[in-house]
Amino acid sequence: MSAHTHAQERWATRIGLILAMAGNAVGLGNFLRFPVQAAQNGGGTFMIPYFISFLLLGIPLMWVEWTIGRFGGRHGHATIPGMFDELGDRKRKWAKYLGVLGIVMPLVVFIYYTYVVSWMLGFSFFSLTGGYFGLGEFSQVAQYLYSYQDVFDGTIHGGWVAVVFFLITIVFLYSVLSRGIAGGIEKLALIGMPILFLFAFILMIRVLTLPPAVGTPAEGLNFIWNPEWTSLSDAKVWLAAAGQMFFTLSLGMGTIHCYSSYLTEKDDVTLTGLSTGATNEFAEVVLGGTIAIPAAVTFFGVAGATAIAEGGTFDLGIVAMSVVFQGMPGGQFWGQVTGFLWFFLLFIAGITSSVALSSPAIAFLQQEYGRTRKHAVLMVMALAVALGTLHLLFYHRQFLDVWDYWAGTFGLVIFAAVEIVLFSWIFGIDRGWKEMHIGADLRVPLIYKFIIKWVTPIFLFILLGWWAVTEAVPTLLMRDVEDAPIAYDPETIVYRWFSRLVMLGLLALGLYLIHQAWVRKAVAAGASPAADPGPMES
Amino acid sequence: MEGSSIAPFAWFFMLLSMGSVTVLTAYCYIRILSGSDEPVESDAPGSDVPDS
Repeated sequence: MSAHTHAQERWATRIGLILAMAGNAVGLGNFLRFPVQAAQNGGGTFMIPYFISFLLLGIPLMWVEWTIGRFGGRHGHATIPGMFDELGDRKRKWAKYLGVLGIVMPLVVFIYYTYVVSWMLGFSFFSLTGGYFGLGEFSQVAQYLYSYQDVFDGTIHGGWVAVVFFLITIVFLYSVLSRGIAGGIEKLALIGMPILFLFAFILMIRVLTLPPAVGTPAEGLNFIWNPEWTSLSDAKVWLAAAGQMFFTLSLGMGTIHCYSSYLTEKDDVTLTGLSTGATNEFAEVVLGGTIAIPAAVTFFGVAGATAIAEGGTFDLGIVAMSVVFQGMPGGQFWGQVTGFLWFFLLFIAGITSSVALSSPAIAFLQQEYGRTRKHAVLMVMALAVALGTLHLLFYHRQFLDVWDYWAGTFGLVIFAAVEIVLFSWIFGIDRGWKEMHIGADLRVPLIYKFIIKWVTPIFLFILLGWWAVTEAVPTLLMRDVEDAPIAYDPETIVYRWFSRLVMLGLLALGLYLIHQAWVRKAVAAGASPAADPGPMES
Repeated sequence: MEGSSIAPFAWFFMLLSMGSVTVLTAYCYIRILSGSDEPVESDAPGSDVPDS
């Protein structure tokens, strides 16, 4: 086996690893996106394609990503370019360049996602201080949020308020990430995840015991779970379920690979991987499904909640919930406490995902360019501040929407399609299956060998093809089409192009850095043959 | 909570979904926390690549 060139850092405990991986997966989407998706795509029947996607897409990809990560770590790689290079037996020079997706996409998502996470910190503060209390109407709270998001709008908040919370979030991330894997990321997960679940349970009980208002909590549950049988024949519903599976498990990002590269070669990936997937599903289905929508239906009725949900996850998760907290029984004090629990819960869910999203870029700088961890973290945080400023300035110009669609939605499926082909067909399913079972605590049913080789890739290519035709092409051409992922607004076209160019610039920079890293390796190998670890072992 | 507002099939899907993810999560954590499992051999069924 080649020398451990990067893997001096390790996870300290198995439960810490599981919680860190679960923290990566459990994010804002579990509590905001899932209930809206379920309610809009057939209610109870949505769970049929959802669980089928979990079994055929989510779990197989999860095991594949964990396996690639541990395999890469064993060969001295914590990031995707090196891992893909190894999967291609180092003979396929193009493989490492495809790995740029696993560095740049999580970095792009990290930058805008961290900005959104900082809103949750801001609203935790506003809840505790009663900032939005007294704004009883939905439209007033919406204006409160809009003013916060727009640094040029000083009607309610000064433009600096959002900047301050963004910088606090960045400093917090620096303090966690610079402490390393076990000392920073794992400790955050060990403290943050139990708090997240505790807060979620308290909120779930509070919401389910709310007295009837315009509606009832039971009507909210009925709104989410009541089946529409005709939706099962709608392809959009199946694709929505598959898409949700990607977002919720953080697949196709490069973050799972990076975290699992810090495993030892004999550490289990099958049972541990399944555990993180299960933890995420519990947070999503049990907790995520019983807070925001039932609360919104109780206070706004089914018709009102439907209209709010159609306005997007932030209308539901921030605006509607802020109205709900103002009307909580027990007076303003309990409303403020409940509001804090909700927004801080979202902050924890988001910050643990942010930590994971930044990890591939940090590991790449450490490993390929010999930076110390603190220096690498500082560089990534500086980039996040620089580019995050663009989001602060142009949030209402759809700057963020462009990044969210290409890196945070469509890019995930492209990445997953690349990795499953590399794993199943180029590395080979037989070698992959054997690799997966090294140190395994759970024997994966043999049917999954067939699923990973055939079913998951076909499923992915159908998803990719459908999205390419129905969404990606119209979005690429900026056409005015109904239900486009980015709402058509002719006034923002300059900003959308600018947003694309910045993202493409990051992609080009990533490709250049990968190329240079391999040139440096070749030079080092030429100067000292012993530096080249040689062909991989199987 | 007024249970009568939830339709029978909504109950069915809700309990089945929540129940299945809860059982799966509990199964995983019980196995991990019990720690009694010997790792399965890497030469798992379906692994027809010999050790090198």
